[in-house]
Amino acid sequence: MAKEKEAILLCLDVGPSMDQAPSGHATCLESALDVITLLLQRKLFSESKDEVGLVLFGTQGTANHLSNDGYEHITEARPLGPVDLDLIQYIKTDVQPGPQAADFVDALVVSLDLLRGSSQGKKFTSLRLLLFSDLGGQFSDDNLEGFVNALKDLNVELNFIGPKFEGEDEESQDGRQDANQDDNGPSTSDGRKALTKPRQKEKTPQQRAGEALLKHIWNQVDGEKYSFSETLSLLSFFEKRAVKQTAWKANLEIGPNIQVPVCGYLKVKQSTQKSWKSTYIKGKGKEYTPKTIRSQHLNNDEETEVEKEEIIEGHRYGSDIIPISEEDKVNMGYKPPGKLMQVLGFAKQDSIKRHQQLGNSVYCFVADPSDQHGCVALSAIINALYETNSVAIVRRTYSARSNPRIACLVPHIKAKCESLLYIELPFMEDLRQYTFSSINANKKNQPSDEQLDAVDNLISSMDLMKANTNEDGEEEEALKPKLTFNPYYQRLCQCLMHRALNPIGALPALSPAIAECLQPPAALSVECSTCVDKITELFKLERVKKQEVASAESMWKDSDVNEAGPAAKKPRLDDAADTTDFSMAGMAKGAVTQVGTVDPVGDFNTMISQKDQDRFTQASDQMQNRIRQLVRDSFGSQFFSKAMDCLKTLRAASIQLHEPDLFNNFLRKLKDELKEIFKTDFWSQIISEKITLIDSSESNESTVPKAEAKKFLEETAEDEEVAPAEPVEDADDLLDMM
Amino acid sequence: MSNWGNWGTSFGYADGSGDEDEDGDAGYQTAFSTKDGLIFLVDCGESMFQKAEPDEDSHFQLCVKCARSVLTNKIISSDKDMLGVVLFGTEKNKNSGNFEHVYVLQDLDNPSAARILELESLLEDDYDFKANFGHNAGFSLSDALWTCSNMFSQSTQKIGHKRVLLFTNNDDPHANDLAAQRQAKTKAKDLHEIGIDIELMHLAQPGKDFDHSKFYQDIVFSPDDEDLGVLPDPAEKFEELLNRVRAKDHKKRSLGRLNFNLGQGLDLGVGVYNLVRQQTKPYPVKLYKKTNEQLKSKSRMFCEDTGELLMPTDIKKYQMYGGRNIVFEKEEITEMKNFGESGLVLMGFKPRSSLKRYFHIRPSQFLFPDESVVKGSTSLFSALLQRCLARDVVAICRFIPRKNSTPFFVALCAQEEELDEHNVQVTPPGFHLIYLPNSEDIRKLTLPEQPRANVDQIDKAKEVIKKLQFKFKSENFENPVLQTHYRNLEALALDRDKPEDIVDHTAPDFAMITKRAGDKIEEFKDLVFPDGYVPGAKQRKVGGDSSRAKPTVDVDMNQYAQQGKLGKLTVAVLKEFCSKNGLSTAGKKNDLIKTVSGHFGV
Repeated sequence: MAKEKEAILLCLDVGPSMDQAPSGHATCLESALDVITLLLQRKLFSESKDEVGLVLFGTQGTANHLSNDGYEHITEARPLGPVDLDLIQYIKTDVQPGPQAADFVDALVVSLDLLRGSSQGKKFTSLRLLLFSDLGGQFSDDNLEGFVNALKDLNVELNFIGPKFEGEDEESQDGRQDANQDDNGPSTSDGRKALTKPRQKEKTPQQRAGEALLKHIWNQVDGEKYSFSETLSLLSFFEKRAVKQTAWKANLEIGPNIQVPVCGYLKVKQSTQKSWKSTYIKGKGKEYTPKTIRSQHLNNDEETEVEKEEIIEGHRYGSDIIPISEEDKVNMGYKPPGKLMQVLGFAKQDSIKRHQQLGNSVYCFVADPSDQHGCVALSAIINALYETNSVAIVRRTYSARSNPRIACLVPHIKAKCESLLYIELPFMEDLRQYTFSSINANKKNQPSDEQLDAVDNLISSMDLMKANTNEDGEEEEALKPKLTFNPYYQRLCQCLMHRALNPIGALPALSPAIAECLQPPAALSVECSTCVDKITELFKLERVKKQEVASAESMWKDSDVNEAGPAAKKPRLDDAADTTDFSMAGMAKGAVTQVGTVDPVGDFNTMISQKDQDRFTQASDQMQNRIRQLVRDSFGSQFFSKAMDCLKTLRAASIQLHEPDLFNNFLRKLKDELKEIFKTDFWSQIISEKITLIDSSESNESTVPKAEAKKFLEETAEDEEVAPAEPVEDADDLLDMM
Repeated sequence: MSNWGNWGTSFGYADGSGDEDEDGDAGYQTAFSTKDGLIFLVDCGESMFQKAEPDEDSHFQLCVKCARSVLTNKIISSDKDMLGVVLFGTEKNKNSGNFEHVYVLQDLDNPSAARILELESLLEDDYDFKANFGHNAGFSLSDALWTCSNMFSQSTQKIGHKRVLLFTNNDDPHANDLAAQRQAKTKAKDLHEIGIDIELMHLAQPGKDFDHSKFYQDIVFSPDDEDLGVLPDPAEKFEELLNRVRAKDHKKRSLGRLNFNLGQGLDLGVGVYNLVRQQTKPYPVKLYKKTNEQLKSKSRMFCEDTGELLMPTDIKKYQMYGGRNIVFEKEEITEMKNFGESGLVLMGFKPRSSLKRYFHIRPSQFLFPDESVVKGSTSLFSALLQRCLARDVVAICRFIPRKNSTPFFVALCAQEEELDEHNVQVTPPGFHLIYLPNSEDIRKLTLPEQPRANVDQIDKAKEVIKKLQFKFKSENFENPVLQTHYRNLEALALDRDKPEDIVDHTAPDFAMITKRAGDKIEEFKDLVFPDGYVPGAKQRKVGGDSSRAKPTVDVDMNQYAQQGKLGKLTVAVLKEFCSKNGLSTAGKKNDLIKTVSGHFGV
């Protein structure tokens, strides 16, 4: 079966009107580029076979195959081809606003011709033309009829993505209402909200005429129009590659006499990410694929390698290892019964406990459609199971050589389709019998009525069934598994994209969209916070403090080590290392007077913990220099993590010892210095780690208000965005030269 | 000896193996990485050897059977655990402290074939216990406990959890000896203080109650987190005793302790446990054929093109998209997976009915409060459990099992505690943690619309279902693959002639099905299938058509074969030809071509 394959030609207006926006708002060109980038990224990561081409209009130059016929300021930037990173990079960095408005109808004609030309001979299931424009330029409708006919002939879908059409925005300030509203494109509430801002300037007569023309075209051919913002929100999550459904076929046997041919399809299975491959990069541009070899060795001094022929397998039986020859294996092993699915009997649904489902997938079984009688038989069984609230217990072997599993078939009836869900069940060996104490046996754990009420209120206030609001203002269920994205996959794509476009430099910070998904819905948080406070007040909860090792290191080591690791992980260490390091190694260390490069954090901590004299200023100075040196000497981000550890240690110590000014001055200086030595990557890390100035809430000695500390990082964040401007300038120069 | 066949009965499996985690990461930071130590302390008083009926087992035999069963099952579940068997009330003595009437039958060590055989010999009908060990009621329980304590302390291996299972049917061993009673109590307390749990496995003598309050209530110290509040009834049967031993023969291990955040600043501590997990056949170890010596496996990485041996730090990782390799350092890949602190964060509540059965991507886990993280957790946990049960809701949480593992959304299902009629816990109180799929994990299926059954057909199907209804319990289904494997091993290890036969409970019992529902099944068939119906008949019909075209195929085939062009035909055609002509259809295309060529003598 041939896969769906679409040809998409992007037709992008880069004319002057696209580049205008009130300050602080995105221009139409920026929005269009964002939409295109997202669209391309989705194609890229879903490994789509679709091909995409790009035509720019409004460019200074002219470069298209119809230029001899007078189509000017139209540039064919990319012929039709599979989406690759070069195209995305081009969109991100090389598309510049042009000085000259161009005729959008002309551009569509050129694009359509290009689409026709380059799609010939390739098998596309559909063709699509996407127009990105604000329709600000002049146009002539001379070619219109021919164009519309060509659209019809080639069966091309024409979609328009731009600012909202006149009259669709009911909240627009002129309040005009268009009676002929024929908007059938999706419109979301947030799309509307976002659009009121750039739409503050009224549309020009030119734009209205353009819209009228597009409407005219749509009267004759299929087409959709979307606004920038609604497209953005639709595209903002990465999509996984679609998996083709394949059937597992067998006869469902009930007793020796009934056999119904059935097909099983995977319904639920945890999707896996593309696997990481290993590479060995030697010098510049030389990449090799490393190979792993495994060998078996005797346990002697020479570690003699043993040949394959001299190896025999064995199994542990307690402290003994029993060798098992190939012969034994064949003669004694379990003989699988062959590929089959057999009913053992029927059981009540409630005897299958929800938490005793095994396996990592759920299949959906339907009757083989080629056997009509089988379909009727299975339908009877499904309905009978449903009406008697029962499930079928089956054993199934996946293939002739697989081992049997036991499972249940649960009736699943939908309006369109009746099916059986196949869910694996545990064998006796898979269950673990643990005895837990009875929670309420101890009177002191028995919650009071007041406490129960408080928990009850929490449950009421955090009702996810009403946490979302849909476009009609109705309450909807939040966190539906069908609509939640895998946060890791989104994060992975974010990092892949970032690295592809910025080969050197650190990973980007977690995108806010992903971070938001991991928090309770904002709609609930206000209401529940009072309930949470009440519970905190009513229940006596006390975090068990870990016995802290008083070595300075552990005091400001990132606390998550303690949080994540169970207390019992290092009990010995905690006990032994009591308050002072009495070990030989500790004594042998002697007095540390320098923050070295090998273990700067350790040296620093040792220095400041020496109680005999105050060396903090000295240690702090040395630490600062060490950080500078690490960052300066770092090749790429090589030493950044070490430098970051130093910085964190320094900050924590500065708070602890009430010396915030030393740190704050240093951080201010560092900010400027990093720019000078082009190590802004380290800054982005500082921002993502949220290492701010020490503000007055953290240390009484600090003169920096909290807001200022926050702003300090934000300012740099903006600087940061301007930073990668170099290639842009190059492109400008090129254009000037042309 | 009807129970004899039950000795393959397995126990809960410990988590030490570390292969739990599909992600291949280091797994949870296990709180306990050490082995369990378990001593069977068996009363050998004469009443333990009395049989109510000549063909029944004596109490002593029950105990030894239990010990034997534990040994064989430890081999399957956790063969690193240390086990010992101590008899008391014997005439002879053998122990490091030279105590009277205490006999260390098996010192603490890993289970082994020899030990199992030794226990089996005690169970033989003609075994003369009296001649070999003798009885003496003049023992001191204090000495017996002391012996156990010595065994633990003298063990060369580090033992994490230490437990003594005390088997007796005498509720008042030192009835008239206050000094001995006091000594035993003090000794028991000593053991408790150095972290040795004593569990009482009491048996009831016929017609007599076992009165706990007489003596043993001061001897038994259960760990705090297993305190049931009520004591189980004394056991009379092997299964009952085994069930109780089973619940106690290993320390339950949490996969880790976590923070459960209910909102701003409101945290409680929970432990995560695996109550159900697929148990697979262990991987074989590699041995040197000549000496049966275990081999060490080494893996090295090298670069084929340059011949260099590579260090792990030389390797970078990449994924290919859009024609480019996007390269990362290994640390960066770890960092990408870092979504913050491990733990649970409450997102909100949903009715239990919103939790669909097919929301299933991996087996569930179990949560129980843990006071060692946050003191007072238990009572908040209990309140949450009670209210979730009462309102029939599940808590939806975001779950990061450990640092640098990617987040899941999970549903917490409340479960009430249940005890069986002997006051043994059947289901523990706590939350089941059910992993929810993401949109990427739920596939959109396009399924055909199909003909439906009518009411009569459905009613008949209901009758069939009714006839074949049974009460499903996983405990009744042993995994035939595992059982076969271990019985074979056992036979080899214990030098038996052949492994004991197993009953494959996963095979459908056709005779039983026909006996119970044969006529209903026939009636159902008459209602849904036409006469002479063959399942998947349509495909057969197609086959019938082509059989008419057989001569042409035959001629073609011969031609193809002669010209050596068989490779141009599809596997299906070749296979069909083979099966029609009674040739083997085994193997891949090349094999088929060979078969057909051979048929035509090419």
